[in-house]
Amino acid sequence: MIHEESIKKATTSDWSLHLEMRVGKLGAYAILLVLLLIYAIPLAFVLVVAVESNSQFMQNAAAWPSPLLLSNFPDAWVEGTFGSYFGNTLLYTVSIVVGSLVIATLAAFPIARGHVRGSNGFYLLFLSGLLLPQGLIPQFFVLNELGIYDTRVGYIALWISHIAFGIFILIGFIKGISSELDDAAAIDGCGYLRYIFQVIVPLLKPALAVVGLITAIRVWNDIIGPIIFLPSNGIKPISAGLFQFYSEYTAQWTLIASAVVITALPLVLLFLFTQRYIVAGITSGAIKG
Amino acid sequence: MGRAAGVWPYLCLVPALGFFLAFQLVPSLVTSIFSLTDYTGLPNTPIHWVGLQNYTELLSGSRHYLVQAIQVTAVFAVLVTGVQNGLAVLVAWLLNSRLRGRIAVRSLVFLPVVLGATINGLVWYVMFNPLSGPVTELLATFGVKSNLLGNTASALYAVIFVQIWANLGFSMMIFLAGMQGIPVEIYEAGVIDGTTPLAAFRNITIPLLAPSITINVLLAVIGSMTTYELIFVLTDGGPAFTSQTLGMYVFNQAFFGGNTLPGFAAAIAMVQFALVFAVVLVMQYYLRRREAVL
Repeated sequence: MIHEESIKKATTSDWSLHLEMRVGKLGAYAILLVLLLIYAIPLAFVLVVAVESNSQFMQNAAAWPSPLLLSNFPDAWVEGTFGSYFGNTLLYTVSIVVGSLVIATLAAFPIARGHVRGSNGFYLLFLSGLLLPQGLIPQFFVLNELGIYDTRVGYIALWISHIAFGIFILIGFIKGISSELDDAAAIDGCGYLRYIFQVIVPLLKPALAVVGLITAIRVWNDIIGPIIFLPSNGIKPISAGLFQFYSEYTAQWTLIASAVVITALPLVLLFLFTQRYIVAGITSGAIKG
Repeated sequence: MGRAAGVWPYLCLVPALGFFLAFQLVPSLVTSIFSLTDYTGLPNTPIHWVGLQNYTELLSGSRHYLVQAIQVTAVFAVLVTGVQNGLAVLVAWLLNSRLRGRIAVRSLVFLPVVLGATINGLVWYVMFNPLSGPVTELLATFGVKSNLLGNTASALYAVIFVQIWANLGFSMMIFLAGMQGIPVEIYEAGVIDGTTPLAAFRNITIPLLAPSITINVLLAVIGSMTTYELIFVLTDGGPAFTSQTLGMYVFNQAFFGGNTLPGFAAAIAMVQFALVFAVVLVMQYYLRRREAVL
């Protein structure tokens, strides 16, 4: 009798569990759908506005544009001098990424291997760069005093100094590379620099790719930096150029939307192809920092 | 190898140390010194010591702005930290499943993290536009006629919404990484015992996620108390300073307003730093203690 009852109980609780899971699954899909809409609609709306005429925007912005007005893109490109901004961003991104990677690798190797006295102290010193607030006002003073305020060189130098993140990731990675090779190289009398660049760097490629990608995205998205340190329009990078365009064409919604699409497109493509590395880089820097 | 290389390991450190000290560490530390001067930021203008004058001015003449900025920062930080992390846990939990379409949703939610403040800000600037923005039209169907970003009552909350929209993907990814580190066996044991998914979430996932929660909450608190990029793009702290956080206040005072005064702005930055430091210290204590108990 008792036995029977417990079986009965078990089946009812099984059945209610099943129901709860069903309802739960429906609820889960409903939440995912809402989420999808909240993220897709703004992006889709900007895409639509980017290819419609001003008059249609005023009447029914969200409707499918007819006629499809692709001329917004060249209009925004020319009026906003986006060619120049793109050129500047490319120059900044390449020099900052290459410069940061070289300098960070050079510093990370001796620290990771304990080749310098007090290497733990150096490690903590660079680590402090991830925690301390950015001293914008003194930075402004330093660049002015060095005569590199509002110059390409000043902006690049400032960005290369954001090196803590790169050193941090690279040290972690180098520690995972066996040091047996180091000793073999020492016997060979292999030069220190040559050893770093010819033996360590090829092994570091995955970590360098992650650091390089994250640095590139941060430079590409920098808005406060150029506003403060690059007031001249001719040397502004893309994000600041987009902001400049928006300040000048405040009410030209369709042109602003097409400028947003122009600026976002390279980032979206980059994201599609390197998503895994980007996510790993952004979250690992955060988790360890 | 280290000894044999002689001076080379030290030379390798020089470039990184040079850039880091000159443009990061020293500037970060000397903000306090600038806060005691009348630095104007103009070239060829002498800088004078003014003692605590910037601070007394901040507490007397500019008191109203300081208090308002602190209030705005508090609302911004509490709402962003709370809602962003709460939603991120929920979304990560849903995506850490075999539901269909989870990868597409995950990528889409993370995309704004890559797009950056200017693009995210302008996307929502277009969405909020008072002429035919979808948000404006949606509100109009409920009888609310409003320009969200231009209204003193709503601007801050509109900015908070966009801030959460833009950064949800970041918190979500950290939670997802944390959830994937929880052994499947624990859930399987729960299933045998007849645990419902919701109970498993409450009794297994959340307790074992404590380290990720600590990291995410701390990052969000520090981030939301110091960030202002998105606010700058959307409202520049307006209208009538109703969305001006401390970080925005520093930036506007130092570089962007009509009458910029970097020396005075440095004093605000010091107040901001002290507040962030105090809040993080207290939160760190409670979060770590909670972790230890579990």
